[in-house]
This record gives sequence, structure tokens and C-alpha cells, in this order.
Amino acid sequence: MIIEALAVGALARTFYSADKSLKMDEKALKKYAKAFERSEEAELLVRKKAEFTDKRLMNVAKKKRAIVQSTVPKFVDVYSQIQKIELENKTKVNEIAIRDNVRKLAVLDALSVSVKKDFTDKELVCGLITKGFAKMMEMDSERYLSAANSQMRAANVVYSQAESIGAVYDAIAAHADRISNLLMAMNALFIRSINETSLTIEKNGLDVRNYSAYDKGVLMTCVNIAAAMSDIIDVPVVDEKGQICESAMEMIATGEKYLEKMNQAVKA
Amino acid sequence: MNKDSDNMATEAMKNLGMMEQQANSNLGITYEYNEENRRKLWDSKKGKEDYKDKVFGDKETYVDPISGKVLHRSKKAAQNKYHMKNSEGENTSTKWAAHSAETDHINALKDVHDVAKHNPFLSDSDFKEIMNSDENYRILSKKDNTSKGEQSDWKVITDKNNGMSSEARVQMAKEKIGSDIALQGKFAVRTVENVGKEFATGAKDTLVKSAIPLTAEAVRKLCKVANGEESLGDAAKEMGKVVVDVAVAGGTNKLVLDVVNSQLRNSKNAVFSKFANSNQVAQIVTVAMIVKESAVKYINGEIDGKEFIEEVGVKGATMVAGMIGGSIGGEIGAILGGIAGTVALPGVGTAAGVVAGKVIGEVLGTIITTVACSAIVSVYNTSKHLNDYKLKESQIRKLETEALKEMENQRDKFKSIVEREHKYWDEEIQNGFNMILSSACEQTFNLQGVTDGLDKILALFGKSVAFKNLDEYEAQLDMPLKLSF
Repeated sequence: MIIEALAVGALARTFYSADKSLKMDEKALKKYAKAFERSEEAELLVRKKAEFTDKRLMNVAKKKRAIVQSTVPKFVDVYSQIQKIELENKTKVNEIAIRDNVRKLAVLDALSVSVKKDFTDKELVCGLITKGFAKMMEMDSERYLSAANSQMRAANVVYSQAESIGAVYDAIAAHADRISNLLMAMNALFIRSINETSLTIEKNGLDVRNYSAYDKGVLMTCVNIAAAMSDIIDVPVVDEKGQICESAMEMIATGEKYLEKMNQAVKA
Repeated sequence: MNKDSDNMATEAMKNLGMMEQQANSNLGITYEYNEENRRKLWDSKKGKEDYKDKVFGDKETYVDPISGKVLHRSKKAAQNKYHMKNSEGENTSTKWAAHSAETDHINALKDVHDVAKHNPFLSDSDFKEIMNSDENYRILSKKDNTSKGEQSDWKVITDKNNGMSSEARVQMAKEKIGSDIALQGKFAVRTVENVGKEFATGAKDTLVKSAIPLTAEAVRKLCKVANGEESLGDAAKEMGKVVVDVAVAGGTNKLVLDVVNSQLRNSKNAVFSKFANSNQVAQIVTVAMIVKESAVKYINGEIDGKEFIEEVGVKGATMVAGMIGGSIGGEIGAILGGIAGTVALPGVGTAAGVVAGKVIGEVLGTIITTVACSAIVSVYNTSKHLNDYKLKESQIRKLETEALKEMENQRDKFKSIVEREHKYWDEEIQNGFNMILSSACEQTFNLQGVTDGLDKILALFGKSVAFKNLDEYEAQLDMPLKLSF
């Protein structure tokens, strides 16, 4: 009777476990779907921020190009009347180089996939001896659900890293806008100064040493602005030695360290 | 398979042969299953008719609990009622078949024969008698009986597309389990009876020599897999050669195997399918399944050896004797022998049976203990690690919490630095422009103010103005002005 009772009990237990196992498998699948969705959202976040930052960087490049191609020739035209100008051509502003430089800074590492480990033969036999068929079925599904949970946790870390990368892009875009605004303001000042210089030369002739202090000051200011424009155009949007960049690197490295740890834990 | 187990298996087969020769020549079920043997040796037309009469009693109709239809005792009555023929005497309808009663074997002769044919302690007449017992009969319509054909009950029960109602499935499952239990009980009792007769004829040594190596081999294989020395696949192949399902691994195991496995045979669960697809593997595992809970209790000291044996039952106990150790081998053997002796010679045979049983138990204990005791440690160690995934998940959870917290801290720190830097930038630019604009008006022109304002802006980039004052400016007027854009 014991064996019969065991048999009937085993059947009932098996039905229960099969149902429980099925429910856990469904839950795990949903969890995996959610985890992959979260990873996808992370990638999308980084992609959107990168695209927006690209636009802002392109805007800086456009402003620089406009100054070099339009305002600088005006200056040369006016000022070269009184002093010889040796204009050196810099390497052309390479927008792609700027973008690549930024992208090197902020790359979202790929997410490892957390896979359920099947029982080895040894584990199966030992598990069946100590836990039985029904429990092993449940455990198999629990492992699956556990792997899905780990996937979700890894996805959360990836998303957090995406937020960090997004913060870096935001900072770069904000800085790029500041440089754009500065370039525009300086260009306005430069144009005004060139016009003032043109009038001064027209009024006083070509020997600057005969000019009044005020008029010499006008010319000196124009040259100082021209040199300042040269310096500002030269300044990279991302200063690798700046505090923002160092802090960004530290933040990204911290995230990468955790992502690496997470990937190793998930794969283990 | 290694030499020892080869020898063990060969020895077992020889002993089985010897036993068959020495014992009752009627024992042993005809091995080949075909129509002729089925009709002549195992099927019973009379049994089926008697059962039908018993079910119908003095009535002519019966409501089938599976199909819910009214069945007629008489085939002719069903044919007439459901108009099999038209007025010209031509066959025009088969509806009658759904209402004509037939007696069906719940457990098909072929299915049970596949297992029972290995049991050397059963005869064809035993098989016929048990298979044609009321517990293995049921009434079905001719139509259902024909469409079911060779399919097992479990296949019919678990087939989602056959249109069967849930109630009908439950009914069929109840009948199947009831029949399984009844048949296994009958086969077990008959085996023990016949074994008892064999003891009486002096074949006890043969039983010891044949059953023990086979049982030992099953446990030994299990231990090898548990120790990681062999894969289940290899063990299964070798067990197939040893024919483990003789005698002790026959009846009871099959019952557990059926109820546990059948329902899940079609399951997509990886754990199950790995086992269910191999009968040999399942047999090995069943050895452990029967005894596992009681073995754990015994090891934990919750029950003593006697209670352990009572819990597990004779066959399960025989199998696991070695896992517990030789000390209770004798105890198991005494009970095994006692039962056999009592059945064979009530009142008198018990003592002799106990002696014979002690021999079985002691030898069994000695043989299996050598391989099983070390393995049980491995079993429990491995089992402990089955929950490692929980540890891993907890580590990942901890890592996630730590990572999210630290990454957020770093982000806050970064944002605050950016904010501070941008604020400083905005202020310096604003101040620089204010200085330039306030000093640049013609009326109040202040060259130093303009220059300082410009210098303030350039300082943000680590630069300074080209000329700080007029002297510096004038000093270079004769030289070319170098600029780069």
C-alpha cells in the first residue's frame, strides 16, 4: 500500500509541479522580454543623446567655418593695409574627428546574456535521489527564472550606464552650445571692430605711429580680437584635461567596471 | 562497462538460466508477442464476456462514464436501433458502433507483456489470469475501442486534440491508476508466491545470486553517475545490457514509472524529457526514487532500520540496502525472507524464509555498501550545490544594488561638476563681455578695460590677449602679423 500511496502522491505532486513549473517558465519569459526591452531602451537613450550631441557639435563646426570663410577675409582685407599679415591655414575643422573623439568617450558596452544552466547528469541523479522528479522540475524552472531575474538586473545596470553616458552627452552638448554662443558673440564683436578699424585707417592713413592713442587702441583691439578668434576656434569642444572630462571618464569607467563585473557574474 | 560489472551481469544471466532450469518449468512468460500467442495464451474471450455480463447485470443498456453514451449489451440491438441497414438490407449507417458495448483491457496486453516477460517468476497462465481480472477491464463502445487501438490510456488522456471532455479524461485516468495499482499488486503477490515455491524447491541460492548482482548493478550505476564518473547515457546503455528489470526491478518500479512519467512524457521540461526518453535511465532513477525519502529519514535518525523497511516496502528496501549499510542488510533480508516463507508455507515456512532472507540481505548489504556508501556522500554534496543558482542570483542582486548606487553617486557628482563649471564659464564670459562693452564706447573708451575683458574670456581657455598694451602692439608693427585659422 505504501508504494501505491507513493505512486498516487507522486502523480498529484507531479501535476502540481508541472503547473508550477509552467507558470515559472512563463514568468521567466516575460522577465527576459522586459530585460531585453530595458537594454534596448538603454541603447536608444544613448543613440538619441549621441545624435543630438552630433547636431550640437556640427553647429559649432558650422560657426567656426563661417568665421573662417567670411569674417577673417574681411579682417585681412582691412588690416593688411597697415601691416603685413601672414595667415597660416590650420588643418580644416574635421567634424567627423570631433564626433569620433566624443564617441570614444562614451560607448555603451554590450550586455551579456544570462543563460539558464542545464543540470549535469550528476546533478540530475543526485537531485532526483534527494529531491525527486517534481522538485527537480520546479528547480529547473526556478533556475530559468533566476537567470531571467539576473538578466533584468544586468539590464538595470546597463540602463544606469546609459544614463551616465547620456549625462556626458548632455554636458558635451551644453558645452558645445556655449562655445557656439561665444563664437557668435565674438564674431559680432569682431565684425564691429573690423568696421571701426576700416574707418580709422580711412581717416588716419597708413602710418599707425601717427595715430592718436585712441585710434591705436582701436587697431590693437581689432588685432587682439582676431588673435582671440584664432585661439577660440582652436579650442576643442571636449578638453581631455578639463575637470568635466576627467570626471566623465571616472564616471564612465566606474560604470564599465560594474558592467564587467555584472557580465562576469551573469556568465559564471 | 568494466570487467566486474560484465562478470556480474554474465553471472546474473547464467544464474537466471540455472534458476529457470531447476525451478518450475512452467515459469517464464512466452517471450514473443504475436496475434497467435495473444489469442491462445493471454487473451480471454470468456473473461471479457463474464465481465460484460457482470457490468450489465439484468439490464440491456449501460451508460458509459467516459463517453456518456448509452451502450447496448447486444451488438444486434445497437445495429437495429441505429438503423445499420435500410429496407433493402444494405449497410447505410455506422452510428450503431458508438452504442455497442465491448470489453477493453485498460492496460493493454502488449504493454504489460513488454515488462512482465522479463520476470522469471511468472507463467503465461499467471499473466493471463491477472491481465483478465476485473480490475483491468472496462466497458467501451466499439467505436471508442477501435479508435483507441494500440494507444495507451495516457496518450489518449493527454492528447489535447481528440475532443475528449475533461470529465472523461479524469475518469479514464482514475481507471488507469486503479488498474495499475491493482495489477502491480497482483503481479507482486504472484511473484512472491512463486518465489516462495522456488525457495521450497531449494533454489534460494540461485535467487540470491541472480537478483543481487542485478540490483547491485542498478545501484552501482546510479552511484557512478552520482559521482560524476559516468554519464546517464552511458549508464543507460550498459544497464540495457544487464537487463536490470528482471525480478526486483520489475513490477513496483514500473508502477511508479508509469504514474510519474506518463503524464509528463510529452512535457517540454528539460529535466523530465532527459529521463523520460530512456527507459533504462528511468529504471536507474526509479531505484533511487522509491527509497529516497525514507533513506533521508533513516540517515537523519528519524526512523530506525525496521521502520525504514516498513516504509519503503520490500522491493525498495532490497534495492537500497547497500545505501544504508550491511548492518540492516540482515533485517531487510529477514523481512523479505519472512514474507516469502509465509506465502510459501504458512506458519512453517517463515523461519526458513527468514534464514534465506538473511542471506539475501547480508550479501546484498555487503555488495552494495562497497559502492554506495561513498557515493551517498557525493550525492548529498552535489545536492547541496543544486541551490547554487540562488547564491549566484543573490550575488547579482547585491552587485546590482551596489552598482546602481555607486553609478548614481558618480552621476550626481559629475552633474554637479558640470553645473559648477558651466556656471563659472557663464559668469566669466558675461563679466568679460560686460568689461569689453562698458569700456568700448567712444566717449568713455578704455583700452585697458577692453583688453582685460578679452583677456578674461581667453583665460577660460588657458590663453591671453596678443597685446597687453600699446607699447607691445607698436613694437611689432614692422613685422608681419602672424595668425592662423
